[in-house]
Amino acid sequence: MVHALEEIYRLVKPSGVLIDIHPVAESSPVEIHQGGKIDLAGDLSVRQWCTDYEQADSALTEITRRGLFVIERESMFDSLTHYDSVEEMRAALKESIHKFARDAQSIDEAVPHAEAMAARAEELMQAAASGAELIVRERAHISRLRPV
Amino acid sequence: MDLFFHLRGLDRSARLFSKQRIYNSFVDSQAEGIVSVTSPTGSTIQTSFHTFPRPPKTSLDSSATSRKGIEMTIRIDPENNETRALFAMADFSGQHVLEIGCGDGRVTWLYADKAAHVTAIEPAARLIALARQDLPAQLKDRVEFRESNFEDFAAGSEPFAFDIVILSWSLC
Repeated sequence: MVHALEEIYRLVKPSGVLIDIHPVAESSPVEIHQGGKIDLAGDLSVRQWCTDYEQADSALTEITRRGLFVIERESMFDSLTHYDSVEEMRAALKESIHKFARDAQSIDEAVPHAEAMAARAEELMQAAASGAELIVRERAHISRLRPV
Repeated sequence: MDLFFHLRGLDRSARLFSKQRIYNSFVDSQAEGIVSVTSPTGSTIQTSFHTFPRPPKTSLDSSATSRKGIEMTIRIDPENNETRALFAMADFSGQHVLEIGCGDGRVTWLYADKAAHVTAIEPAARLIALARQDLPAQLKDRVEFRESNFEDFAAGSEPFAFDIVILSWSLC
């Protein structure tokens, strides 16, 4: 990742900027929204299986420490993914786990956790009236970096 | 008035159909909301929409005839939290932009109409194909989607070529 940032430093104009958007290594709550009420089905503990969430922060720290870039601005935002059904969420989670998991053991650990959380979401969705929404809330960090 | 749609996981004909229906129904009456749309397959989906100064990526062409089924209906960030955060970071007007890890172009569409030129790279062929499929004619000379990993792309690129580089959820 640091090498990629070094290459970006080469490609960006001296007057240009790098904008980095990446999710932060926090749990992502799975929420059922209905009529202004939010029930929590659980948390997706991505930190336990995703290789690179924390490495992204470390890489940015490293390139600023080395004086390639300075952070001019940064903020956090919530990216909400709305699913119309638990099945959709299951499929999306499965894809993410297989794409981002650090190894086979992480997959083996993450899948049952995601399945348990999906089952809880399913219970809540069944108990809710029609119109309930299933939302996964993911915290993201965005920063603007200027080459030095 | 441009409309910004969040229609994820639909095939192209379903998306175009939905956009046409939403546009016809709401463009003059509401700034945002959630609407149910019956797709060409006969299924009903719910989707959010709102007015937004975005690239005119929709052709609003309802003539597509494909009858493939709806695969999935997932809406990412219909609240536009990411859009607001992105525009708080940079003015894209007239800029040469490199987006690394563009996926299916979800983030690209947020700013592409403002930029002078966009080079968006993504190693996954399936996602690049989706992005290219959605590229409207009016942006074809300004937006280039390339199937490539960053290392290969960087090796063949001239230095100081871009005003803005976006790492689009791609450090992980």
